[in-house]
Amino acid sequence: MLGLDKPSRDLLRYPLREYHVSIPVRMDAGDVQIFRGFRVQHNDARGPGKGGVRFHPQETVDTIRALAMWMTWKCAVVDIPLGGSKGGVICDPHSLSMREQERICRGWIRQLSRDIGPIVDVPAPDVMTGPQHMLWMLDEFETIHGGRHPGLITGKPVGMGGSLGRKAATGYGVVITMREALKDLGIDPGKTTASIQGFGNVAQYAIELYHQLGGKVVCVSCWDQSDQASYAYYRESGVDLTELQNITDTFGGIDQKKASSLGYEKLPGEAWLEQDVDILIPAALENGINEDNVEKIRPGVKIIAEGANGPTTPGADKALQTRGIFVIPDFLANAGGVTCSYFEQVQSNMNYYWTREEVLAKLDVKMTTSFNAVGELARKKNIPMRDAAYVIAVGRVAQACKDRGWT
Amino acid sequence: MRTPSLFARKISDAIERFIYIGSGSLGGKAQGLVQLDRIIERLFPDGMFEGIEVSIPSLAVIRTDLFETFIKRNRLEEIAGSDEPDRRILMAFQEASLPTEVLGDLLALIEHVHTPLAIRSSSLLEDKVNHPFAGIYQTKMIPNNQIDSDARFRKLTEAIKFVYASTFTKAARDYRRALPEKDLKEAMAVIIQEVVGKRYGNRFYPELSGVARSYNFYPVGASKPRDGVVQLALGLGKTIVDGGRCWTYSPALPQSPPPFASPDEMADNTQNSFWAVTMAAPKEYNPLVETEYLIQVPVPDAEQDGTIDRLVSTYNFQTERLSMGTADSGARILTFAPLLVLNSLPINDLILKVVHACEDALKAPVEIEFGMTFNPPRFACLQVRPMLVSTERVDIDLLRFDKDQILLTSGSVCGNGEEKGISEIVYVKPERFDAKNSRQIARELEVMNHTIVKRGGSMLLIGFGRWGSSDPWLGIPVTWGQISSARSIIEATLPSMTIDLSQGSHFFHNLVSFGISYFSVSHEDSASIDWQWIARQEVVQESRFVRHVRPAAPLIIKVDGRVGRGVILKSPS
Repeated sequence: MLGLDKPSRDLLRYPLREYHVSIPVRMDAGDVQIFRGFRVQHNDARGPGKGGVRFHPQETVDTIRALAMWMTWKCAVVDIPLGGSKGGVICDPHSLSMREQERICRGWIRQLSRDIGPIVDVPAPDVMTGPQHMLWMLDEFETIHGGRHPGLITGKPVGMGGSLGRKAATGYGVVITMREALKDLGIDPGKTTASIQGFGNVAQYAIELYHQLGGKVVCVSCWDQSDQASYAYYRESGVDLTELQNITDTFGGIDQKKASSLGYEKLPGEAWLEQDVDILIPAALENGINEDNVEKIRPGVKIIAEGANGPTTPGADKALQTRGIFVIPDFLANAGGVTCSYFEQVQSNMNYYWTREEVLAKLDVKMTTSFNAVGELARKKNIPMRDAAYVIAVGRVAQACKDRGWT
Repeated sequence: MRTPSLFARKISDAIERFIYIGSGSLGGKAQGLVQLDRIIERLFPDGMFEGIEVSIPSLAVIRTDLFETFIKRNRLEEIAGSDEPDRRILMAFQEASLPTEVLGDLLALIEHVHTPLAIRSSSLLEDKVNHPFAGIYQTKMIPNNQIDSDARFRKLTEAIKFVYASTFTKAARDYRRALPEKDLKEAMAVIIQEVVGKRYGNRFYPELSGVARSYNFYPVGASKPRDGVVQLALGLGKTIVDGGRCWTYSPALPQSPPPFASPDEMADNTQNSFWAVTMAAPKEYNPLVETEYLIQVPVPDAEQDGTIDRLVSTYNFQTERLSMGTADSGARILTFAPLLVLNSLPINDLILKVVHACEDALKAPVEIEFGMTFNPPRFACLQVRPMLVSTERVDIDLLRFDKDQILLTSGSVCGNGEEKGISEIVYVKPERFDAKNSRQIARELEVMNHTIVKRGGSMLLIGFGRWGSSDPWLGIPVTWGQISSARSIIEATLPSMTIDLSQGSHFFHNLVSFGISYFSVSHEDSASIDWQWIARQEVVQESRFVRHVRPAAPLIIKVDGRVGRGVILKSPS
């Protein structure tokens, strides 16, 4: 469909650069352990690399390569001038003290400080890393290079170079694309209901904006840490976001007893998918919608907005397509996060920070424009939204490579 | 027939259409514009009248639901209902955030619009009750000419919050309290509308603004009430709305000679400055005032802009001749003669056509506001309102009343009907009055009015000079909300304050809609105000310049609107 030539295909199939580093860290007990870390820069033809740093015991460079490529497409589909990168360290933060994590962060930067930077490659938080990790990394980078470079990294706390609205951005972005899909389908958001998988940051902000648009969420699911199982909580009259937030632990788990006393019906985790609603928002796990459960989706469902990364398996995706369910693909629907990260970087580079209103207005315009471009191509070429999004994203990156004379 | 459509972020939406954002009500003013748009489309299917484009300026309306959400999410209910000073309320609103769901639409809109914008109020109550709220809620004009769309977005959001906050200023709350309908819920829609005009250097303004009424409460000479009345001004319509000097004429007799004894008198009493939007940096950053981006410009400056050729006559001091247009050298006087006498553009015919069509559609006398540019000729209708005209017949035979019973009479009264039961008199002490203190007097009046409003009372208000004048040297610069408990208003002259009286024109709509009588009394009249009797009444409260008294018996007010005669009686006969 894109008609890419062989050099373009070969270039985009592999990362431009990979860094594999060893990070010696003196542990609290006095011994030294060596941690393996990575940074993969898939493509920076459209701008500096952008992507998170993951701390995970089962981390592999293959995962990071795939995710770096995915970042390339995500930045391209929302048309922000950044490329795709990803990084990680093989470690288990649950068994590390904060001081040990700090040393890993600083060590990772020491090894990579010449190969990342505000105009080269911009890291961000990811699995098991957060604002504090980003500040340690920034501090180490600035110590090495001298001066202040807040544009090195995003996901910083507000007041320390972070952007207002960043926390809400991913969830809001999901709902903004969903709102546009409803417009295209001629459905009033105020007359719709939704069921959501997950009750983390993305889900909570998605619920907030969706409620503001007048919609009703009737079911949310979450992971229960003590039972090591997921449950769905259903209430016909609709969930109350604040009420649920008040009975949720730090892992996003909802207190079963309190939920029951508030009139929520506890159901098996997968029941979120089986509700008779207009909209499903998977905002938790990969492969949550697969060949085994896709048939359980009720006939009334009209839209699936993929808040999580890779929530739909290719087989399930095909089944949804056959059923005519409108799927907003993950790397478009959840691109609000990286879009706001880009805004944070712009603000940090200027050292001038916008109001929350300005950030969210820009996010809305960016997401809406991106959605409309993808939707228009999908209609014109009669292809699914996911394919249209890939056509736009890959096309933009391939064109940038060509314009630079790389291919 | 056009109907407003939901903003869909298409470029054409932003510049051409009548669009809205949100749900809820459009508010009274926007509803009026919907009606006006339809009338104009019916009247001028091709949008033209003898070479003049006729339209309403493109606009977007933020409907009332977003106002309610704004208040709720920012928890502004408490301060909005408090007695905090207006400045605190305005500041609290500026610090609050507009609802997330409207932000993207506003940014998308402003990215495509680069012309000055008027951010206007359109309140729910304007639609639900027949009261004009004229001058109660604020309008803010912004130049919207910054290259950076973020800067334009910020100014737009500041202006919207300013209009939202104006719902809760002291004057606005007192005005609502004084309404006969009680427990009314107010909500504000906001109109974002293109300002009609052109840019001249760092100024942006229409060459002509006007207000036309199809019923005239003050017919002079050969004109009749049903002939209506038109007021014209150079620049933004603020000059007319604020009661500044403008040209008033009967549309039935547009070529009548001007009502001035001499060109000198004409020069002294016609418009000598006009309002424009400044396209340069404002004097100071102050999102809390309506006039942040407005400037008042002397009329001679407009000659350099080339905008007065169709508006002025020229007075030659040597020959003492007044000639139409600018061909001769001499003093320029805004008589609008090239338009009205030479008919260089048929605007009087156009005004009459629009006014009559609006009257037919609304089945009531109407008032319209308009703005105009001449090159190319464009007549933009900005607002239409029905006028409430009392038809009660009151005959006043002064000989029937005992002389001691009369508090005052006047042969120049606005209004019609009989009013009983006014038991409070608030007046500016004649012995302490000095025009230099008129701003302080306005503040003192506001305090007394607030007390009366809280008690649910109503007052007879007596003062000197033009009530509501924006020029504190011409009268007391009150807004309607500051005197909202008045059921009858007296504007009087003193030997030290002998300017031409306004006859209520500043508060015209409020007077008409609330059925309030407005007496103009000259100190030279034989039957002037009985100050001695007033001074003997029980004092309720008193400040430096103002006194509030309560007569033993309520006053009776009678006005014969057919002849503009009225009398106020001290007690039942």
